[in-house]
Amino acid sequence: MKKKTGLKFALTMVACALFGALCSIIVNFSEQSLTNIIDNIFDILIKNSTVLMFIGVVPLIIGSVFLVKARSVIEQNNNLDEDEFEKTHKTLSLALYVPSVLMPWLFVCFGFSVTYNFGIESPYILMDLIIFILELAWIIILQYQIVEQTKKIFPEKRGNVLDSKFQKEWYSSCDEAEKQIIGEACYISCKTMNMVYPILFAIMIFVCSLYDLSPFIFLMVGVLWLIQILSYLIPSYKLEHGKKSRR
Amino acid sequence: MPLGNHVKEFRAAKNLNQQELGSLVGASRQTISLIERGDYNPSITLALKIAGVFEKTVEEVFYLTEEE
Repeated sequence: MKKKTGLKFALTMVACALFGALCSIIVNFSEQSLTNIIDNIFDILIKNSTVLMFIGVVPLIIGSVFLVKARSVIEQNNNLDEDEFEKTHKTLSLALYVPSVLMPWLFVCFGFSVTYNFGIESPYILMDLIIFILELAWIIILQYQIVEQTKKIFPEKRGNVLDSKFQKEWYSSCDEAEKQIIGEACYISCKTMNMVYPILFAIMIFVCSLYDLSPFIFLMVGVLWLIQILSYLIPSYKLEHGKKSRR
Repeated sequence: MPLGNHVKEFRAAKNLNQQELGSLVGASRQTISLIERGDYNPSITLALKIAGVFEKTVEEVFYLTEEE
């Protein structure tokens, strides 16, 4: 078993090295066309940042529809049967995923707008700022409403989305099963990011061969990776060893 | 090892809904639903509380099943 794992690891490393070599050859022979393609793509993205931000309204509308659907069921009937409860809970969960996924999209699009409009000193930056703030406000209001409706079907839940201590209060009002779900989901998130960061560094080094990348970007990504690791290791150490000291 | 249970049957016998049982044992309705479906194995504390509500022993409410 150990030999197979070792062999698999070695073959993976060799495959990655060959892939890296292939990418270098492609870049070497087609550097100009590759940079042209990348430049054109980013040119289109940053010039149409306002349109991209408007696209964010679509998932917000979908999330709002889910919220209204769940709210109408909850308002009609205080005592939901098992099926209705499951459906309503799922609808509220889906409604909550929308603003969560939209937040990075919105910040990226606004970043594109800032990159383009500051460069040409365009007045459109003000319009994009207003759109950004309005969508952000919509996201926050949507999250607030979803949490309030969730508290109606889960009366033991506590916390106000607008409060800075919301995460702590909400978590403390979760029971053992809910805490286990949160723990497992967070562990999957941590594992995923630990895979993504090295891949991201590989991509950045690759891009470095085409463009002049500021070292600040490497530092920023490295710091984010370190924060990710430490925010897992420190609490897990305290949980593992802190209990013994309390005995 | 998977855990089976008679929570739904005993709950029905006591004329309790999931929300009521959850309130009595300090768990959410969702958790009671997960336990009844076999999607969550409760801690010893929670299992004891649930058995206590039904006035049964833990072994009468929960049982080990064969692994598939």
